[in-house]
Amino acid sequence: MEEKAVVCASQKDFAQVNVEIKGEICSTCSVRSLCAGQQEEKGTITVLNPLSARPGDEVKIKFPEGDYTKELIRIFGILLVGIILGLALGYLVALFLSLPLTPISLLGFLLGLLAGGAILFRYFGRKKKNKLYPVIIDIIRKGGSHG
Amino acid sequence: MELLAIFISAVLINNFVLRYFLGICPFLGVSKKIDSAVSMGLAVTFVMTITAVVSWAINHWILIPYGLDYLKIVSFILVIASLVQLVEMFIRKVSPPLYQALGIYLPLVTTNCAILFLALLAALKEYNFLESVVYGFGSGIGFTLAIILIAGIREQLDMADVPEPLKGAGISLIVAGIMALAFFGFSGMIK
Repeated sequence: MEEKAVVCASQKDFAQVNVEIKGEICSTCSVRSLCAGQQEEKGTITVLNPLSARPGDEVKIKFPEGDYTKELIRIFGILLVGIILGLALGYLVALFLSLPLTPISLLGFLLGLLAGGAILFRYFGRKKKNKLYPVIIDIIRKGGSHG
Repeated sequence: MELLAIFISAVLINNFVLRYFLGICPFLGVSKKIDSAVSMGLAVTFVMTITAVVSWAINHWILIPYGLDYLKIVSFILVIASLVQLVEMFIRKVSPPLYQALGIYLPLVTTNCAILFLALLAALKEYNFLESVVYGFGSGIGFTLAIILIAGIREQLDMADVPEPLKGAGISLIVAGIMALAFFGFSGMIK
């Protein structure tokens, strides 16, 4: 997905841009009044700035939409697998060792959740963190701040 | 066997979306593509499973022993809102750009009445811990199944010649109604 935006601040590899996505994409959404993006800081997002765009520039940005979905599936999938495996393990351990079922299953559940969280922290720590930021792919019009 | 019956019942027979018509907002809002439907389904399944556990614990260890049954709805709402906030904080910590991109996504889970209904129904049915977890997980899988099915149909509908007034939510609701009728066929599978 590509959108037009105006750079409002830039620093090193990143820039803050004002996006006018709301009008185009959200106008038909029936739940837009609930959207976090409709609040005060609406439309201002952080993007990667490989073209060194400066404040005032009108730019085209690209959102890695497919990557967001994949990462969400990964996050919730790993957490779900963690809790279900933990619960099953806790249940089996309690069953075989004749321990109270509920507390041990609950413990397994919590350990599974923690293990899932730890795996995600490691996974996202190792991965290039910038991969999911939108990227400036073109400078449409130079702004006034250029000398 | 009992647990399997609860699971199948939650997925197919008492499907929250197609039987009770709960959680329609994310069901219609995030079902344009199969990918996004899968991620929403997994998010709801995760929140439902955790809600089932936490609400069971609160109900059995605080509300019932202290005679605070009348606080069920308030405390369950608090549990769900807190859980979604925790999930949001977790995502912000592990991946800031993903958190930035989510927007309406997680609030859609918070405002999903199906999750509150799950907590209340599990308490009403007096499920034990394991039954509650299986019920929560099964309900989430049922939601995921329904949202993936309608996403698949909506992707096909994009290429169909739908009459102008029915485009969008109109045809989606008709499809959902037909799907609900189809799922009604599962009634009586488990007594």
